[in-house]
Formats: sequence, structure tokens, C-alpha cells
Amino acid sequence: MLFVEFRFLIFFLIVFAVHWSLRGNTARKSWLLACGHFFYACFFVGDPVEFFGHLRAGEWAQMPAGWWFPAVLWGSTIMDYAVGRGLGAARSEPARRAWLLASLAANLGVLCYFKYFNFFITSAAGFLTWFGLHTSLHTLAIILPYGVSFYTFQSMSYSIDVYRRRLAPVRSFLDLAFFISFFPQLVAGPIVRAMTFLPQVFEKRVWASVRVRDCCTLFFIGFVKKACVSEFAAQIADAFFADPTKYTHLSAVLGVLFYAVQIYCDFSGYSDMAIATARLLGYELTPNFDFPYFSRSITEFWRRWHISLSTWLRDYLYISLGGNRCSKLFTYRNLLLTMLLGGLWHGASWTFVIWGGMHGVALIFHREWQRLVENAGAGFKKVMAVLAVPLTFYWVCLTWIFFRAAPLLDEKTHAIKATSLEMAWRIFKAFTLFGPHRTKSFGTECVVILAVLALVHWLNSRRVFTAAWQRLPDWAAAALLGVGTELAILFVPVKYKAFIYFQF
Amino acid sequence: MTGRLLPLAPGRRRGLGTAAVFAAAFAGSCWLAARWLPFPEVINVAQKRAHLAAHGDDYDAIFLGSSRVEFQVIPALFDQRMAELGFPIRSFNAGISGMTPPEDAFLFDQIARGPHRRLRWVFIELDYPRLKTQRALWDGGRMTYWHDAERMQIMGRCFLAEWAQTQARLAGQSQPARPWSERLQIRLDPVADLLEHFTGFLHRQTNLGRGAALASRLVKRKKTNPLVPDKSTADQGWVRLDGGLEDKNRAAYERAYAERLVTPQTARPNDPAAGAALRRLVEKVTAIGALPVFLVPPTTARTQMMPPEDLRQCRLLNFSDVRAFPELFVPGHRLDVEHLNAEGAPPYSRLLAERFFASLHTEKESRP
Repeated sequence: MLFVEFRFLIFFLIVFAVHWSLRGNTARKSWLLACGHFFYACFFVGDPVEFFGHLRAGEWAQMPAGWWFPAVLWGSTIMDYAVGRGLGAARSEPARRAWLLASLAANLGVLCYFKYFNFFITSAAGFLTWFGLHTSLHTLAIILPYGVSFYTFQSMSYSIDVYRRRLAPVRSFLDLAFFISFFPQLVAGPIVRAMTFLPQVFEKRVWASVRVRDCCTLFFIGFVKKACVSEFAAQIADAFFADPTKYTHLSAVLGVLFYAVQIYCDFSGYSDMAIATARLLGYELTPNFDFPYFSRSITEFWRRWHISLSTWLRDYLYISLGGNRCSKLFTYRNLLLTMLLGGLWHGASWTFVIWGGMHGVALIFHREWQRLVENAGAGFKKVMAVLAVPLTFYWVCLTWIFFRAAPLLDEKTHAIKATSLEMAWRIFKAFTLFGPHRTKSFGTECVVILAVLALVHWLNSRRVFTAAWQRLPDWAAAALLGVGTELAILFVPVKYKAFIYFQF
Repeated sequence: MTGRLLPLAPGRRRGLGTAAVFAAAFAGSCWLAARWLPFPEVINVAQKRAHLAAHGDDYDAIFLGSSRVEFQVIPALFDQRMAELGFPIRSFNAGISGMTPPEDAFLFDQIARGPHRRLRWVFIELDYPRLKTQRALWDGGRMTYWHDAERMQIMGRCFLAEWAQTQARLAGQSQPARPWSERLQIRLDPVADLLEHFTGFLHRQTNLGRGAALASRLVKRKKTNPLVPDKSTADQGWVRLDGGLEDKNRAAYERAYAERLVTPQTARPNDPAAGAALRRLVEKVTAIGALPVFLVPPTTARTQMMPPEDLRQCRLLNFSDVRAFPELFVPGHRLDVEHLNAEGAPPYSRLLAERFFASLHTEKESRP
């Protein structure tokens, strides 16, 4: 059930109506907890009548793949509740540490098993083969549960915050279960911290504080970003990344730029819809994006891109490693390690590790650069101020190549003709204009569309639309939203691609 | 209780007013967009519709129906045989694979909007509406383009008939008892099917994705509609279906054929939705001054839909009798139980012309 689908609208209308018609906070939380698990189960169960039929008959082989994944979510919740209670009751520091380690081991264990088991096995086998030791290590047919990277991070944030005494352990299991399974952010974030969300859970939400117009507008913007812009950009990006060696240099640049558009609109669109949905239910989620492509440095980029992940990594990993309270060398090691692990968080592939590594190197470079130009002249600073945004964006686009690269498969046999890394390198050369120039091209319309998108995005970053929108009376805003909704529906595809971040 | 509605609080009243403005603006935009957008690019349908929009005045007869028309009726041979019999006419095969009522009526509405000065006969394959949709037809907008309010009404009737049938079937089955999940599945199936049609209706009413199709064409640098013209309109709408009876189909065909030799095909039980769909199509055909000709293609199916009582006076050409038309049931002419192949299409087209010609002379032209 995707946010952009009609069935989600029906689901949400029921959730919304029942939520606000219930009087007690406990009843509301119980309702939303049930809805969260229903929403999550929808990704795995398939046809519910068929599912329960198989379940009743004990036909396990007929059950849809991953039908038991909701149990992992419950397991994670129960584990962290127990850890929270254990931490609260523990008298000694070693006991507290043991409870925390248990939580980390369980959460990271789940993550490692589902996400990294095969990666580690194949990488180890490759490594041994490199040394001339041939092995026959077997991989497992593991399917990744949706959202596992997100909800394990949320659970861990609770345990770590309780351990750090920033948060009191929750007494009610319902509160924690509701926090972890709150459906707007369950499968693709934003990664909500226990510290910011749990205080909201304790208080009964008030309808009067819900700004319906703003919520609807935000949801609409998210919908347009995902359903119209991202899906359209995906057509060009997918065509290019499927066989990048056939395109001209300009088309290679366009292909990568459209991927930058696709991933931004896909993920920020999802986040907008998640935030708007949560707000309509009276809850506030962490903002996730702040026009990251207008960043003047990579450091700033990470303050504006996937904010909930970058701040999580900063607070729970970078600072735990020592942060910048140590020598310069160790600070840089911490930065690099954080970004490498951040890359690996996205997916079990060396291309993601390289992506994270490139960002880590850029962060280190930026720190050094800042130190070097600290005393530079005003003229130089002015030039750099002009170049900073395009240079940062260029580097970000270069890193997207590794993020997106997929192996080239033979059309008939589906055998791998080139690995992701080889493909990434080819695209890298084409994007930096060093690769061979081919003939296939996307056409000038794509340049115009890209320019229009960039202009709209820039105007939006200057709050031009926001200011005009706020001045409109409610009826005019409603009329414009009505027309806008139809225009958006005109440009949505009949079949959607899943949100990119669902796979993480 | 006084029975009066309580007055709404000002905040709620304003909220409802705003929601109404939103709904009105949305509905208005949907309506305007539908008027402005070109006909959807549905494969085969768009081609045939565009052809008739350009050359509708050239034809005296059109054939409407499913693959049993599209692949089996060769208008050129039909016209040739009619000319040999001394009754020259020109016909077009507007059959579309998978097209059942009420989609055929929607397509006919489109044809009727175009030029049709010479159109005198509309051959209608007798078939009934299917509540269950084919998954493959959802791709390319095929399940969306015809779901207007009129067609949804037919599907609603179809659902009611199916629902009643399901309940009766379940009530009549006492032994062996089905598990509850299976019973629930059977009960819910028609509801799920109706929801699919409703989804199609919503897609159509909101023009879902129709701008995206245009934008996609723009990016892929295809300035002209890729669907028009092409081979499906080259042979006056006939599409050649090569191949023969495969082993898996042969056994089923031979069994059905032997069965039909012993027990001839019977009429399908009266279905109000099918009757209503046919009646509406006939009304539309007669409204433009043409005459309906009902067509029963050569199949070995056990039952076949027949026109309801009030439409019995219309001309009916029935080719499902295996004894009367042996050449149409020769295994070499068949693809499966339902279809003739490219070898079977010529004798069928000629026979169709002969029977039609004969009916012109033996029966009076009658309007329903």
C-alpha cells in the first residue's frame, strides 16, 4: 500500500475518521497501533482471504513470501521494551551496559541477517578467491523485510537514549509499540527519535491544533513530487542506466541529473506525505529534507539531505566513536567510518560503500578546505560563494552514479555482462566526459524540462510560492488544490514504481 | 427527538464549504480535461476508431465483437462474396480481442460520433458481460477507457446477477462442506471484481495518467501517435491469427466437438445484464439508421447467449451448429474450442456473406 495509491486514501480516511472520533488517548493509540500493523502486513500478506485460508489449513508452502515479517517488528518492539524496563531497573553500570548490548545485538543482528548476510558471505568468498583459496560458501534466499533499516534504528534510538538517561523507560508497552509501528514513518522514515516522539504519545492529541490546509498542501506537494516528477524522471534515468554505454555525453549528463531529480523527489515526496499524514493525526515527525541540492558544501548537504538519518548517525554513531573531541586524524577516521557505515545502511553492496566513502572523503576535504581558505581574500570568497552550489551538486551527482549503478544483464540469458562497479565506472567516465561518445540521445525537450524543474525548485526554495499560498483565502486554496489534484492525476503513471527507499 | 438537523458549528460549516469547493474544482477540472484530451491510446481500439473516424463513410457494414470477430471475419472476402452474389457492399472489422459487452457498445458510440452515412448493418457478436476482468487488459488502458457511467450501470447489474447466483450456488451446496475461507472467498469474489471495475471507472473519470502518456511520447521523440495507422486497419480491420491446434488444445477441442455432435449447443440461461447491454447497443444502432445483425461464431462451447425475447425479430446468423457447418469445424481450421485460425477464416467469411445474403432475401428487414 503506497501513499500515492487510491487504496491508501481509503485506508487513511477510515483511520482518520475513527482516530478523531475516539475520545481516550489509549483508545486512539490502540487504534493507530492496529492500523500500523495492518498497514505493514499489507506489504506481505497479499490477498487476505487467501492468506487466512492457507493459514487455517496450515499450507505453509502456499503462504506469500515474508508473511511472517510482521512478527519481526513485534519481536523488535518486545525486545526493546524489555531492554527499557531492564535499563530502568538495573542498579549497576555494567548491568545497564549489558542491557544496551543486548538491544544493539538483537537489532543489529536482525539487520545483519536480513540485509547483510549474503553480502558478507559473497564478499568473504570473493576475498578468499582473490588469495587463491576457492571456497563453496552458500548464500541464503533471504528477502528483506520492508522498513527493517528504519524501525531497527528507531528501536535502537530508544534503547540508547534510555541508556544515556536522556529518556525515562516507558511504562506502557502500548506506547512503545505505537511509537515503533506508527504507519506514516514505518517503512521509509523519517527515522523518528524516541526522544522527540514519545512525549507526543503521552499527551492526547487535539484536533484544534491540526492545520488541515497546510497538511493537505504538504501531502499534495509530496504526491506531485513522487507520482509525477519522480516517475517521469525515472523513465529517463532508467533508460540511461539500463545501458549507459550507448548514449552521448550530453545524454549521460542528463541521465544522471534526472536520477538526481528522481531520488530527491521520490524520497522527499514520501517524507512530505508521511509528515502530512502524521500531522493530520496530530503527530509531528522530524523534517527530512531542506532543499539539499542548493547546499554550498557537502557538510551543509548532509544537514539538508535525509536529515533524520544524518542526525541519527551523528548522534548515535559519530559521537559514540568520539566525534571531533579527539585528534584531527581520529576525527577524520570517525567521519569516514560514519559515512561508510551510512552507505552500507542503504544497501548491501560495495557501490553503496563507495557512495558513503565518497561522501566521507568530501566531508574531510571540506573541513581541510575551510581551514585553508579561512584567511583568504574577499574576492576569492565571492568566487567560491558562486561556485560552491554547482560544485557541491556536481559531486553529489557523481556519487549518485555509484548509488544507482546496477549490473548489466544479458537480454536473453540474464547473465551478468558487467558488474555494478564496472557499470558505475563506465557511467562515471561518461558523466565526466572521458568516456566514448555514442549516438543515442534524449533530446532537447529533456533539457527544457530539467530547466523548468530547476527553476520551480529554486523559486520554492526562496519561499515564493509559500508566501503567495499563505495569502490565499481558504476557498481559493481549496479550488486551486482541486484543479492541481486533477493536473497531478493526469501525469501519474497507472503503475507506480515502489519508493526507492523501501528497498533499504 | 425532533427530527431536525442540528446546526453545524461555524468552523465545521466553513470546513465543509471548503471541502465542497475542492470537490467542485476537482470534478470540474476532470470534466474539462476529459473534453480536451484526445482519445486514449488503447492498442487496436485507437487504431480502429481513428480509421473509422477518417473513413467511416466508406463502409456499409461493420463487425463488432471479440477475437472471434477480429481474427475470423475477413471483410475483403466477405465483400467479394457479396459482390459475386450481386449485392456489393463494403465492410470493416471493428472486432477487438477480448472485447465483450458493454465495451462493444462504448466503441460503437465512438464510431457513431464519426462519419457513417453509408452504414446500414452492424454485425454484433452475441456475448455477455464478464464481471471478472483480465489482468493483462489493465496494461495500456484497455480496462479503463470504456468505464463510463452508462457502462458501469451495466456492470452493476452484472454484479447483482453474479452475486445472486453465487449465493444460490453456495446455499445449494450442502455436501461436502467447504471451509469457511473458501466460502468467504467465493462470496467476496464478485465484490472484488466489481471494485476492479469501479477502479477502472475512477481512472477514467479522473483521466489518470493520460497526460503522462503524452509526456512520455514527447520524451521518446515520437511526435505522431504510434498507434495509427498500422497493420490492424490494413485489411479492413481483420488481423491474421496464424497457428493451429496445439496438442493441449486438440484433445479439448476433439472432446467438445464430439460432445456437440451428440448434444447441440444450448442457449445460455437468460441474463438480465447481458440482455440490457444488448438492448442498449441495438437501440444505438437503430438510432443512427442502421440495422443490427446478431452473430454466433462457430464455437464448440456448451452454451451460447441468445437474444432476449424482445430482440428475436432481429436477424441472427448462427454458425455454432457443427453438423450444418462441418467445414468450420475441421481441425485444420481451428486454433482452439473458441477460435478459427487463418485457414478457417476464409471459408467462414464466405459462408457469412452467403448466409447474410440469403437472410436479406428470405427475411424482411425488421427494426426492433
